[in-house]
Amino acid sequence: MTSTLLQVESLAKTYPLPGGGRHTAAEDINFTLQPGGALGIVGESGSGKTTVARMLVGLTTPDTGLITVDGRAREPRTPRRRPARLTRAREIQMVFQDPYVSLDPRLTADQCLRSALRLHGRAESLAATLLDQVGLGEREAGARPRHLSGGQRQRLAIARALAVDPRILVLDEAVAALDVSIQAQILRLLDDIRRDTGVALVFVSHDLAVVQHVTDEVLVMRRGRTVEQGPTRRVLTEPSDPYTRLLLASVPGEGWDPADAVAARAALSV
Amino acid sequence: MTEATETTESTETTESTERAEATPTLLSLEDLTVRVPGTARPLLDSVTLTVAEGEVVGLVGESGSGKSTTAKAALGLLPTGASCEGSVRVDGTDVLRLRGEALRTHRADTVAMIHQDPRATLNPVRRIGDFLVERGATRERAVELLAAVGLSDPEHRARQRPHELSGGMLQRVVIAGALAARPRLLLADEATSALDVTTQAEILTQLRTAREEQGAGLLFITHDLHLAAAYCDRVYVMYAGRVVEERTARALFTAPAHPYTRGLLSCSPTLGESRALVPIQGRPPSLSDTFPGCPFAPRCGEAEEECETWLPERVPLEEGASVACRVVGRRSAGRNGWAQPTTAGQTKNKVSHG
Ligand SMILES: Nc1ncnc2c1ncn2[C@@H]1O[C@H](COP(=O)(O)OP(=O)(O)OP(=O)(O)O)[C@@H](O)[C@H]1O
Ligand code: SF4
Ligand SMILES: [Mg+2]
Repeated sequence: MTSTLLQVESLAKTYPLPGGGRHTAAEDINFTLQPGGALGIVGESGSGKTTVARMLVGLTTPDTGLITVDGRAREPRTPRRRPARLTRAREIQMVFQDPYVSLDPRLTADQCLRSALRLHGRAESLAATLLDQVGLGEREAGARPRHLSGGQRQRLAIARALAVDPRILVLDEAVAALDVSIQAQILRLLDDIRRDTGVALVFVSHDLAVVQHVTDEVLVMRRGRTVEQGPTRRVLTEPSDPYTRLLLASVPGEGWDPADAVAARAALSV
Repeated sequence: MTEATETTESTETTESTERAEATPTLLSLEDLTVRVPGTARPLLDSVTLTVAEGEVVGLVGESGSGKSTTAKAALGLLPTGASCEGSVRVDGTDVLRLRGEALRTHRADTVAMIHQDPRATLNPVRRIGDFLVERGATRERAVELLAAVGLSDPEHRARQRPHELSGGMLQRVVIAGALAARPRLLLADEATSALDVTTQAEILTQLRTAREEQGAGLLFITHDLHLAAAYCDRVYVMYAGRVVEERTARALFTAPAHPYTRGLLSCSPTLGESRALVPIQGRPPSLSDTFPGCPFAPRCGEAEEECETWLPERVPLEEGASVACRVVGRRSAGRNGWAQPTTAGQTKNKVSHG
């Protein structure tokens, strides 16, 4: 058994409600991730997936709970001092659904990667390797985000995250908006990177079929809570929770009848 | 007046007898080509498609393949500045020639469109009930419709305004609105794509029941091949503004023919299958890409040199099915002893057939 890379214990986040009281966005979230491993977080919109992802990278401060990377506890807030900030960035990087918002519109793909490499004290010449790794060619290297397609921007966002040489990559619905042919290219890319660099993935998605392809472990969330977690294959073939069964019954495929999902929903509410 | 009506009727009767199909055709696009200025290729290129009464027909393809443009054509809605060839008929009426009141009636009563974003359809300050009444429902039926699309406490919902409802509820309202005028033809353009899968399944179940009760035809647009094949009777696959394959939903799963369709299936993650994904190389074409021959050639693993100059034409497969691929066409013709296609409009491409 390899040593644990990421450990998450009793993570929780609540938000105040306008009329008083608090909304539980995430509660009692626990999981571990090995180097090179891949964990999926699935659930419907509003189930708390993104809240967990944002707490991992430090964009949202947890109310309680502990996140450790390589045995070191992550500080709940982004540190002020630059070296500490950079170390923290190298632990976990995040890729969002819409790469547009996270990319500097003024920088070409190549410049974008060079600036990330420079910031983290890595050789700028690695930019070419990274571009190649994510399948971006010479034309794309010289193009600004607005002149790249959605899939190309997503590859660039992944390359930039990798430029930091992170231990863990958190992807929040990173392939959701892409055409399937491009989505498949990115999923293949993630597989390759995982194998070649040993980076571990936290893969947040509402798409069970995609999660099945990418991850070894999965955590099913509903209303901020974990309803089921375990090896992806087992959870998706022999779900023990009725909510997981509902999710599975809702996925279209050969011989699928949407009425099965309605029946599964009915089973859930009794 | 009476005479004119009679003449029209008799022409229509002749036409439909000629077609001699089991179920009458409701929507029929024939060789529809739509161009807009400033693009290197047409948005739609010789699109031929039918929806019969009561039939559910899927239209799938990646972003920019022309699915929405096709659906809008059925409403008589073309992009500004567009020029077109071919025809669009709904129930025998030439939609592209409709003007003024006739066009308004067509859009309000005959055909109804359900978009992906319900907020684009709903007036934020009007009550839900009024939205349905505007579309021809009585107060009573408005409540029935809301119940039929799965909204709890429909009387109360009818008095609410859009901002009080969630996205999934609003989409149910939009579907109720589409059904209100009892249209012959429903067009659903990614109508459930933005919703959670569980909500999608529920809405699709209700849409199926309500649609069956009214006997309306449905053109169901989605980028999700699995969804199309599971929900529809027949499916058209589009690529670069063209229909590349037309199959029964079942055949699409069990025997996809076009290299693009097969490519889509092998790159779509499938629940319960652990095979590796095989991505289609390259990217979907844009409107600045032109193709001297088969548009899929630059990405196709089976392309031969001749494909680069072969003008796509429909090659018949089994009953009612067709594929626009010379290699697959040749193969299946060889296997089944089918003759080369002889349908009018396809002869012009014969020369390049080799
Ligand atoms: N009004 C218009 N003027 C010019 N080009 C247009 C217009 N409407 C659509 N297009 C272009 O026509 C092509 C087909 O567009 P369409 O919206 O029909 O595709 P789609 O298959 O519905 O794609 P998506 O899955 O992204 O909705 C695209 O390249 C699009 O940019
Ligand atoms: S015609 Fe040729 S290039 Fe086009 S899909 Fe068929 S094999 Fe591929
Ligand atoms: Mg569209």
